[in-house]
Amino acid sequence: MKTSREDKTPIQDLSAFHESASLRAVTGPSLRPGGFRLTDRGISLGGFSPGARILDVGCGTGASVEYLRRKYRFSALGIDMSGSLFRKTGEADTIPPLAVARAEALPFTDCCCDGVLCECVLSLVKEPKRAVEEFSRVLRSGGFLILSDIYDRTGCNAFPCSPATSSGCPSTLRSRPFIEALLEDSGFVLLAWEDHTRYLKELVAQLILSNGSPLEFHDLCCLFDSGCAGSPDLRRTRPGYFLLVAQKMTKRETVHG
Amino acid sequence: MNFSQEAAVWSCTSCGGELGLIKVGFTYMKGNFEIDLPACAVCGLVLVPENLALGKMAEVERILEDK
Repeated sequence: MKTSREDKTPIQDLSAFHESASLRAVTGPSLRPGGFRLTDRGISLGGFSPGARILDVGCGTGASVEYLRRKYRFSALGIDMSGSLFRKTGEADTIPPLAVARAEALPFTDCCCDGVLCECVLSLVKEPKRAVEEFSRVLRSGGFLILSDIYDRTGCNAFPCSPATSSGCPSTLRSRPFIEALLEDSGFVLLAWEDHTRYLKELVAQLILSNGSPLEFHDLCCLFDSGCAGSPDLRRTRPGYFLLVAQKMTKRETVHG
Repeated sequence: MNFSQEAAVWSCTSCGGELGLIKVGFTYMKGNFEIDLPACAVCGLVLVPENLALGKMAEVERILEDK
């Protein structure tokens, strides 16, 4: 019988790890490298107005949604393919607006968002091309996409594949050219790309220091060939962590492209 | 032997105090980390167990070096 693990690429095995108590003990509710420092950085690179409607795709605990609402007074909401980490207790007016949905099928109308936030999630998505197309669909013209994730700093995929075939790509540790092509194909123009690999390394190192057994984050350690007997595909890469901000092109830019 | 067990079998050579676990922050290779370590409840001296210095820190160094 085929197991769910066999259906997934090495990076997608990490989706279960995202929901683990061991990770939350290290990262807090943000569940990702850099935490809110990178969220703030992405927001600063965009051009959001007060009250902007921001969609957090892959919102996990909903911590970023709460953070954006509290600090920036954005009209933020979130979706996640699993609602297991959603906070369900507390005063009704403090529970953030969250829903269970997939990045590849966002339950929103066209052009309804000023911004889409997708932090440490796209590498876990089975159909990233479709997901990025959805981001573009729900963003208004001129809206901003803030994307952060793990990537391969070697600049070439271990198993090269075009965005058109990304659903079948065996390696989901993707390169910068691959990611940029996904954006361009969906009508985005890249405004900024920053490398923040040190946050990823700090997270992995802190997990080793904090936990007695590495088995729970075996695949994450193998990203850095830390002695774990992990996927040979991952060991050929040079893992990093990026933050990018892209803007959905307006119709005029599309016509004159 | 975990760090809690280490704290139970060691005593402070400086003042003779008992050891307990405290959260210790440190910087290594430009990274900032926290770990619970045995430390003297009286004078604050920290015990760095051998398995941390020779084991986990070697793993941490391998991850932090820019290969």
